[in-house]
Amino acid sequence: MKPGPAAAAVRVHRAICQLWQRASDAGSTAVASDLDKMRSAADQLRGQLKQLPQHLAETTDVDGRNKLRHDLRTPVNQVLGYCELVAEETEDAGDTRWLAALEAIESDTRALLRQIDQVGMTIVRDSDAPVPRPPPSGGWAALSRPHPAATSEGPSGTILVVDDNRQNRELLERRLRRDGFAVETAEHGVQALVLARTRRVDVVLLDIMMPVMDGYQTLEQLKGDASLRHLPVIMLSSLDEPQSISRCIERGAEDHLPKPFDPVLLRARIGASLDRKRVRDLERAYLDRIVAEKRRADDLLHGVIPIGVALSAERDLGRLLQRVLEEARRFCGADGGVLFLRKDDQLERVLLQCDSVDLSDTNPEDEGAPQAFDLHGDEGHRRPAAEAAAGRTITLDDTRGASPLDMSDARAFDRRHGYVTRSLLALPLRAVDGEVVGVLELWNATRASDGEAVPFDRAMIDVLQSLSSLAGAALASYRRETDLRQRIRHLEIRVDEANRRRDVSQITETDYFRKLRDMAREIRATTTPSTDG
Amino acid sequence: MAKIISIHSFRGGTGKSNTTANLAAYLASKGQRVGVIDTDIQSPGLHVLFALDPSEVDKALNDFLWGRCSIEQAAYDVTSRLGAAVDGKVFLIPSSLRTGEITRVLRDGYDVSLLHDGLRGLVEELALDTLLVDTHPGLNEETLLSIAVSDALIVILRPDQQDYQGTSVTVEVARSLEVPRILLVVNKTPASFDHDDVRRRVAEAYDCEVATVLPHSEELMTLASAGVFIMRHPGLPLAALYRQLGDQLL
Ligand SMILES: Nc1ncnc2c1ncn2[C@@H]1O[C@H](COP(=O)(O)OP(=O)(O)OP(=O)(O)O)[C@@H](O)[C@H]1O
Ligand SMILES: [Mg+2]
Repeated sequence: MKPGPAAAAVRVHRAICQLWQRASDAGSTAVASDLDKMRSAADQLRGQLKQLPQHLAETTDVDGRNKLRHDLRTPVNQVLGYCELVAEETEDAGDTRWLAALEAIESDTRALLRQIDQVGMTIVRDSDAPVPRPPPSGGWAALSRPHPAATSEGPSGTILVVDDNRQNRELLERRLRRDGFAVETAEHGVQALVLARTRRVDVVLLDIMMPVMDGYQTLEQLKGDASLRHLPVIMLSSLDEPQSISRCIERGAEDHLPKPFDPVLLRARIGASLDRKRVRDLERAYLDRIVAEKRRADDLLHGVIPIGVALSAERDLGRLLQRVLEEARRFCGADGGVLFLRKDDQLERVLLQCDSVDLSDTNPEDEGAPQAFDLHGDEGHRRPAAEAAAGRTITLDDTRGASPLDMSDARAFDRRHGYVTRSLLALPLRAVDGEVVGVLELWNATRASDGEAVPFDRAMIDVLQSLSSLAGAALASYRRETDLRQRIRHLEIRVDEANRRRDVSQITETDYFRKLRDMAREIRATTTPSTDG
Repeated sequence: MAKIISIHSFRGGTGKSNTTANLAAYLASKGQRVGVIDTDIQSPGLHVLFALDPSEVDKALNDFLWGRCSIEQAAYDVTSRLGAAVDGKVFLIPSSLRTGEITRVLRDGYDVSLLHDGLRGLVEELALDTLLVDTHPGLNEETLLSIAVSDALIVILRPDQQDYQGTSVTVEVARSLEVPRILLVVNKTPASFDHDDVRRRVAEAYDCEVATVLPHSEELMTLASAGVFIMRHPGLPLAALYRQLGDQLL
């Protein structure tokens, strides 16, 4: 005869208490503290089971009975979880004193769990034989072998554990950390969504029954958000009814883990989810690249080339400069930028724009950066624009980081306007012959889709380089025209007298020419009177 | 008595053909009967401006000069192709002039007044008031011939150092040929230039009358030889300048 669940719970409770006493006496405080948690879970279970007949009488609907089973399973699973964890941890530490007792407690608790699973389904018969749990392959030792990831340098992924029960969270967190994962925890769906959006998360372990926002709703929210949809979700639940599992899988859950977890199964499923996610992340990165390439081609065809045509037709220098800077900023969502023109060995700042700073009534003279600076002046530390004037393209993800470049212009601008210059790109503007005629400097790129601040990426730089060469050509041709205009102002028609005399006499001192002149004279002698008449 | 006017420039692409066509159209609008000869064999361009298709051209000027056809057969009345009605007439004598033949004849000591007689014949047959000769750039022998028989020479230059030396040679050679009237036309002048200053300095440098300073015109470029500018855009400033130039030749 097997005892009923209430009696079994009393027995388990007693065994835990005895072991706790042993651990305390032996001074193993860490083991004792875990056993203390097991004890309180077992105590809770004992109390619940004592009241079970009364609760069963009051609860006749399916949902109610599901809830009843769920509430009973929670402390049982905690006992089991700690049992396994303490066994693994102590064995890892070479301490085998507790293994036998823990194994006995675990075995009894599993038998108890099977009885609880029948609660409210049929009549609970004390004579029900427990189904023996197949021993983990290799026994405790196999389980205690750490996950391969734990031995490598860093955690192999971040797992978000969502469970309303603090002890459950703690248990899972400890187990997962042992397996080498980083862990975030949330008490309910709302918290989980916040974490999923703000932290790096690779897999979500999601409990179903939770207050505030339950597992189903959380799953729905996760899968309804384009930026979170790719996150694998493993449902955790004591509710192992097939329809609740299929309900979750239908809504996009990756997998399902019944409580209590088999540690091996837990690792296996998390590992599989992570592998799938890695493949999907790679696919996504690849897809993003294709999209970026296509955007680049489109930008070139529909954006840059027509702008180049428009720029070369622009007759007003002020408007030309304005357009160059505006169009360049548009292609990368840059919040601000500066246009420099090269004048001999100087770079002259001719235009400054910044959307989030009101520059309307600031005197350009005190814009932080000097109006012009000598290209060969600052030795050692050079301004990004000076580097660009030497033909290099300069990209900085954050100007505030360490850099061999002179960032004092950005710092001065930031101080003056309470601004923060993060990403920076400086590009040479080249004429057709390759000569650098100016420099385009852009600040704080943003992503087109959501306005998020981003570093200047390869696709942006490629498009901007094309635009720069067109802008450079337009500026160079404008400059040629201006030079021409200046020359005409003190127009010098240089004619080499000696050459002219030589060229003229080469023509006029020929027989042919003399004949021609005689003929012309003859003709005019006969026609002139009437021509002028 | 009719005038023969040659339009020349030291370098190519300065705007000779466009100036010729616009002058022809303007003089015709003033009621004149105008003949236009294209002597630019390498790059004939006038027929395009007058929308005359080469397939329509059967006989050319040389055929007439050598008695192979009558003047009516070498001259094409393009009046209806100017783009607007005019009181006068424009006859185009297209470019397959084979001036090489003519110069060979001159060099070999034949009657050098033959071309002049031919041109005069043309003037008489068609009862022309003005004959405009669009020349090939540079000073080769056939160009010298056209200049020699002209009553007036228009030399076109651009405000560009590359044109200055050659233009001075051209002007000097024309003086040596005792052409009664030499006019300079500055063309393709960027709008930003001070045009009066340009006129003054050019006149001074060549000691020669500057008839007009024509701006660089986007509209003319866009027209791309598909028509005569003053007929297409009579209201634009460049058209007024072409008319002013024409008035100096009336
Ligand atoms: N004032 C002007 N503004 C802008 N473009 C002009 C002007 N005058 C002429 N052009 C352009 O310059 C080019 C050359 O003009 P045009 O054919 O009249 O010159 P040309 O001296 O006869 O040339 P060629 O030596 O080849 O015969 C044409 O494309 C014409 O449209
Ligand atoms: Mg021509």
